[in-house]
Amino acid sequence: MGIASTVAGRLARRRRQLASAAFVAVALGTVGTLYAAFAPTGEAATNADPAVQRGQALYARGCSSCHGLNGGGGQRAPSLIGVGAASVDFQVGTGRMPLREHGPQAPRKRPSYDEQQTLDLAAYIASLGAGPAIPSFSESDWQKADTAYGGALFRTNCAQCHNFAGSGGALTFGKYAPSLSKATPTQIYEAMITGPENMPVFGDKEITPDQKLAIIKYVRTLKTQGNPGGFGLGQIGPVPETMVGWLVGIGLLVLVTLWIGARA
Amino acid sequence: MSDNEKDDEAPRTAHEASGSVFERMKHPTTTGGEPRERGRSASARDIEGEVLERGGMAPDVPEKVRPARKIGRRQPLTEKAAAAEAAAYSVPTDEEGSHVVPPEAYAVDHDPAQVDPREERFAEAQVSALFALTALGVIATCVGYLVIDPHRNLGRNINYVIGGGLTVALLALGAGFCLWAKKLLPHGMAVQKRGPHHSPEEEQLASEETFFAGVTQMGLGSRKMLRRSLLGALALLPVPAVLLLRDLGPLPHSRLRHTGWKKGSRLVDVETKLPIKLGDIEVGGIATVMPEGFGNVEDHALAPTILIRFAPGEIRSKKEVAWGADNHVAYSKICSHAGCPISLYEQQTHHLLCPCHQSTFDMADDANVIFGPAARRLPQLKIQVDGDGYFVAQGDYSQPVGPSFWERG
Repeated sequence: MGIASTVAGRLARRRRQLASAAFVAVALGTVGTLYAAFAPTGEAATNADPAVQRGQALYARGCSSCHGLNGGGGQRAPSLIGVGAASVDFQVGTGRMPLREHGPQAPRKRPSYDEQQTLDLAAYIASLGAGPAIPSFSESDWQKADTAYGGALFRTNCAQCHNFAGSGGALTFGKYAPSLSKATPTQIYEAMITGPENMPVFGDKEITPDQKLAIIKYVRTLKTQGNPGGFGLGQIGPVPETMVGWLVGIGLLVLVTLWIGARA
Repeated sequence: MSDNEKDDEAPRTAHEASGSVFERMKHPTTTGGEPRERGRSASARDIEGEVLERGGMAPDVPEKVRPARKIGRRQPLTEKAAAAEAAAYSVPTDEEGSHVVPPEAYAVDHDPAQVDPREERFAEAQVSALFALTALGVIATCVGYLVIDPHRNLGRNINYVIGGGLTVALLALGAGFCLWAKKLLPHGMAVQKRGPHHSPEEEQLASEETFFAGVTQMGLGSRKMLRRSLLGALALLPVPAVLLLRDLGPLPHSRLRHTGWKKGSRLVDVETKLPIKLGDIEVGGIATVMPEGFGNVEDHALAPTILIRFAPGEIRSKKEVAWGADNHVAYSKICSHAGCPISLYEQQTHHLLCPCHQSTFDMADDANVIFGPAARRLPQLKIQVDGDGYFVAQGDYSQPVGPSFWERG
């Protein structure tokens, strides 16, 4: 008797849940179909470019659950219409997207897509709306730029967050400016023109392409220049160096002294 | 109480009996130093003193008079403590008169007969080996310095050889000493006793007497001209110290209230010195700007300004919108807390973070302080777009920028 009524109650609850789920699905489907019918993304779907089509397939599988079926964004993720290919290449190429978990900031990690897949995704997103394209420049372009000028520009525009040696630094409420040691020249350029996450945008009229190449030269020089020995401690300045000297150095001395005294 | 009533004439303290030096100083000739009630330490009679031998005092002081304890003199000792002190004093002194470590402190607590000579020889060899390592480290350092090309490999080679050689040498030397002390020296406990550091009471009293006798003989009370000239000289003495404070100036006058921005000043990029046009900055972009023709930044330390472009509708403060131009707003870059230049701008949250003390300003809400020690919003610069499409200031900041100062009001 007791068991039977419990089972009946459970079934009734299950039926109600199924019914409401079905209703939500039908409603969402209707709204989605109507939206797809009226949304101005028709040319994307009919684009004959094979890269766009491959990218659309990848997008539907890997990104659409958060960013929406047509890149229009959702509650959990922003719209991708108009962000441009450069933004996709940066976010996917640095492994920040797809996002592993929600947090103050997406960390750099191993990319989930290979280079060709990233370019396909970028082509698809670029077809949704105009945005910054992936910059194209060769190594010799930035290699011949002026390192000192790049350094001056870096210190004016970038160093306040990324540190004068590009080591990164803390921002508000758990966010941070990442270290630039792993960023490729293209990624540095893309970050400047797209302003990923909380980074301000530095458009080509504010920092010209030549100036951007100079900044890239400076950042890369920081990475490749030699170290005359000793621990760099991330080159984050004299304060942490002194702190390590005092805490670690004097701490060790105190421990050794205690050890000598204890064993005497 | 009853004592006081009985022997009203009898002196109650040593000072009373010997005549107060304070009184003698005040009245060296007129009263002959007769003690008076006025001017005596309030606590002189109230505090129980200790019984003293009054070696240096006048012979006519009655036996029962006990000198009062004064501020700065130590508390009476218990019998036990006094005995301990006497014992400490009785430790023999060496030729220079200083206290020596008593011979029993050198007692060796191990029996030499039980020490294994082989172990001792081994320890000796260990210590010698460490000292030899020190010598090797020093030689390696010197040879490395002479032989290695200092410019090779950015100087890394020579740095490592010099640093490494000296590290080995000094570590081995220290380790050798430690090992020597641990393995070869006798392990006894040595106690070095210290006697009390203060002078005996008699000496303190005698010093007081001497000091006040000297003061009396100077005759400051009777020699008026001497006294006045001395006071005059002493009064003038601090004047140079005060006068030199003038070098803290000159006063800033109104310079803290003006930044170099004028009506119609174009906003130019601090690095390229080019004026900024509407559309130069992307949505979510920032620029550090200065008034056009600003020379160098040091002369315009209050002028640096951050120009931010928002997306339409992002700005929540009506005043901020009104003072900006076409979703661009300009705010002082000088933190209102301690004056650090701020430009750690987050384009999604619109937070502007000061790197010095983490003051955080919400730039979409008229630079409201949402975290940190800053007490005021950042001042906003009124801007507009001129006929050629360039950003220009509508005037100077309406309030002083940067940290508080005394006369800021």
